[in-house]
Amino acid sequence: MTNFGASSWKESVAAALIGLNRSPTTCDAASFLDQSCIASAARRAGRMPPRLPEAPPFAPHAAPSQTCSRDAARILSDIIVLGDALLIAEWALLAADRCMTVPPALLPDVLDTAAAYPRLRDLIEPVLGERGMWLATHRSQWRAAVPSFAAESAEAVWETGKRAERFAALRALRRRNADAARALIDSSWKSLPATDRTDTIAVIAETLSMLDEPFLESCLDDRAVTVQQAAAQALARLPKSRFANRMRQRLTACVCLSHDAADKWRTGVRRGTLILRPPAACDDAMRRDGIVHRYNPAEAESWYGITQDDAHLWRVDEPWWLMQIIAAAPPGCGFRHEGASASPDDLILAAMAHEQAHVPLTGWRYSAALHRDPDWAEALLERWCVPSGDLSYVESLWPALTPSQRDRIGPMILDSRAARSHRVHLAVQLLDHACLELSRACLDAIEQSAKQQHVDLESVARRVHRSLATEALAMSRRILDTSYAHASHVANRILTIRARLAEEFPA
Amino acid sequence: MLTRAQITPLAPDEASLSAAESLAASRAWVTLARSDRALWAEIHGSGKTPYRVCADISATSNRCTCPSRKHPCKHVLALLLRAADAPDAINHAEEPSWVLPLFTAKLKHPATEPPIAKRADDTARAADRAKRAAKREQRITDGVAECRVWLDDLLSEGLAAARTRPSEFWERPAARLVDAQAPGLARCLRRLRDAVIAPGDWASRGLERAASLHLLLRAHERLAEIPEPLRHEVRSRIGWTITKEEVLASERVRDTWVVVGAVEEQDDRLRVRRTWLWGTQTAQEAVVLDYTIANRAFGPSPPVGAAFEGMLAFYPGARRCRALIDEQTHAPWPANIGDATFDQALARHAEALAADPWVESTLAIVRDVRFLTHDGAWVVADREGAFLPLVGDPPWRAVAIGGGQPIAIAAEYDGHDVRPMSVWAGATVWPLGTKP
Repeated sequence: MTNFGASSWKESVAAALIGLNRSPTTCDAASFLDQSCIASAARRAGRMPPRLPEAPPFAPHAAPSQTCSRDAARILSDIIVLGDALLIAEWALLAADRCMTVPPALLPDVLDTAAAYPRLRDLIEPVLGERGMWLATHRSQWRAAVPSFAAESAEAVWETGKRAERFAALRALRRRNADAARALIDSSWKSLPATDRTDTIAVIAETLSMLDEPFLESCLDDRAVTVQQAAAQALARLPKSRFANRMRQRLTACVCLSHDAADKWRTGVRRGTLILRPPAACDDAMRRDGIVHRYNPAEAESWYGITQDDAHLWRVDEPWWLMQIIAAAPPGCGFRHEGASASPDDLILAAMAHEQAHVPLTGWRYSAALHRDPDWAEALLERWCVPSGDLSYVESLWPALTPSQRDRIGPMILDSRAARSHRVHLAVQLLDHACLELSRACLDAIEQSAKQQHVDLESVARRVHRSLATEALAMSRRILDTSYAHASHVANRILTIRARLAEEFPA
Repeated sequence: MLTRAQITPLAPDEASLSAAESLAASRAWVTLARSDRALWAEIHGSGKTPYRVCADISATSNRCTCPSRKHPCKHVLALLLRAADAPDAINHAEEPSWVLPLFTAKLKHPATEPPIAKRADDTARAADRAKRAAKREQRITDGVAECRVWLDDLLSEGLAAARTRPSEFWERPAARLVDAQAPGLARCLRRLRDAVIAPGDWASRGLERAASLHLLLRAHERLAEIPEPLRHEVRSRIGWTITKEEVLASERVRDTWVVVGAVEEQDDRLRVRRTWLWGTQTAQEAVVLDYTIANRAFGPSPPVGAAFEGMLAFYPGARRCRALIDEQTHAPWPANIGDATFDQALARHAEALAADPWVESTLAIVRDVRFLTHDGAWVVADREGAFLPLVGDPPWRAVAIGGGQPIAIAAEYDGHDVRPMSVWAGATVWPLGTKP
């Protein structure tokens, strides 16, 4: 007789596994399968689900009654369908302002985004809400993607985590408790490889303060050149650091604005004259402060924006050293006139008259961008970049400007003679941080030149001011209709969503 | 009203969707209005007169006067997209007469079709058909005999040995069964292969599938002794098909049906979608099967979370589960559907198994369940603490929606574990498994 018990099913499975030929069962395959049919049906039909040992505890919080408006939820769900992380971040930024949170059903996608894009985590955390934080505790990669949790467990992760996780945890800890982060770095500094030390300094540089100065100063003696240079770059941004002091002293010895010339300028005859006396040698102290001894095309291009075409200007060492010193100090530092610094405009005009104009100008451009000095950025763009037609520095100086400065300088750049050949490219760059007025001007410029020049509609869609998204959408359609531009519906979808965002979250 | 996420999968291809996107934002719209159950619009196309587009609120049926052969066409999609983006911007109005067919049209019935004129050679054709059927019977009988021998050998050699065999070990007999005009049996055989090569508890599942195949082969040998309804099950599982007209001609069931889930699977070269329905008054489950190939979109089907008053026509069989939707009118999502505990849902599975021993999975709708981890794996537990393991990836969306609080779940239950298809709290239904 067939026995339906569990043990007999196990025996049957064992027999089937090794094969009836090899098993002790005596019956043939057909009757074995007959019995298995009955046993299998009985097993499935008679199954009782197992019980939990005790009634499961309820989650400590009630269901969220209101997370965000219905339309905001729809927009977010459409963004997720589109799969665009940057739009999720934009949604989060707007929703956080209005104390909205992500509706529960969309939390997994938003947490996945946070896990995949470490840079967006700080934006996403505020909109997770109680439910989102609770959900994140259930999965390790989500837990690591919530900066508060990452900061809590930073010590453990820093010791044992994977590389990306470790730096995400360090970053999170540093934003919340900079002292603890400093202690953590100190405790493990000696055992870190050079790449990790460089990246650690990059994390420190994100939220820099004078409290980091002693540590960074000590890093100038590091045995790895990359660490030294990273520390020097970070220290250059601290005007009160010992590093900045040394640079200032060097500059005082090397440059000045001639007094006589300044007098003449005051009477309206001539502008001042710069006097440049490059250092005679690159001594050890200078090298310790990150001054590169020999011109090196790769570093020169990535740091100072010096293209290969200008390489011949820097082959002589002395101007090359001087430029680096100027770049490492705050813009205009050292060029003093009767105790007070001269205005950026005067200095730039004076520099442009100098036969070695490229030395101070390249240095100032770098330090104006580094210090985000709006006056210097404006003066450099207006007096030097636009008149000389060298617009390659617009991109780095643009973020330093204030909104009103952008409104003033933007049209100047777009209308300049040098801009003609790549007007669309420039207009797309200027869309970043642009106010309404200027954004409109940029859109007009893009449309005018769309037939001659390639338009990266996706960049336009991402950068344009949100409240102009509808206008940009109409423009994008016109461009797609009239030109042979690659039909990118992604741009149109992004614009559609951003237009809806502008409507849902009015400024 | 549908959301964009629900509309996107309706599109027959990517081109239609982008065309609809542009159309939705364009100025081609002449009129646009809605009632409680329908949306309609007139929209300028290439012709002189504007096209008339209309759609049911839940998009279960739609019409357009444009000549496009795609279904739904870009006009319908644009209408739905527009409604999804700005539902409040559409004014209510009286339904024009051309919207009505949306709700009155039915699938074609054999009774309403004009009778085909009798031909002189009709009897000759019938004889021909009978001859072909008899020939197929003979082929299948031969195929079944061959397959039995193969299956007995498989068991004699052992499943462990079969697990290491190359794919042609399984493909050759499956292809032989297709040649023998028994594609259903080939499908069972491939499912047996899938079970044997799967990780986990493969030996036990493999034996179950082998036993099920064996039972089907034996049932075919003794087909004459099997009572009528079960005979239909056997014949359909072997691969005999039945036309939609025949199904629609049989008795139909009226009820308030809710669409509780949809599962897509790859079945050899076909893709199959199972849409699960639950009749709230008859307490009966139904499944609608759609097939498509490659990356082509499925035909229209009511979306998960829809509820409708309407008729279902069931395929003949012992359980009468597979169905066709005959007519439908939009209805609100009812409260308190489904079972209170897993015990009740499992009892339903046992009943189904008693009626049809080959049943693969049944519908389990249970109220007040929670998703939690037990011994490191995600499970779903009912109010009494009875729990079942979940198949596939952790059900993150369901966990997020539940948040540790009780919610209702609709799942496929295959006798071992559950595959959640949707969860709901109140009248808000969330489909799982797909994008939001």
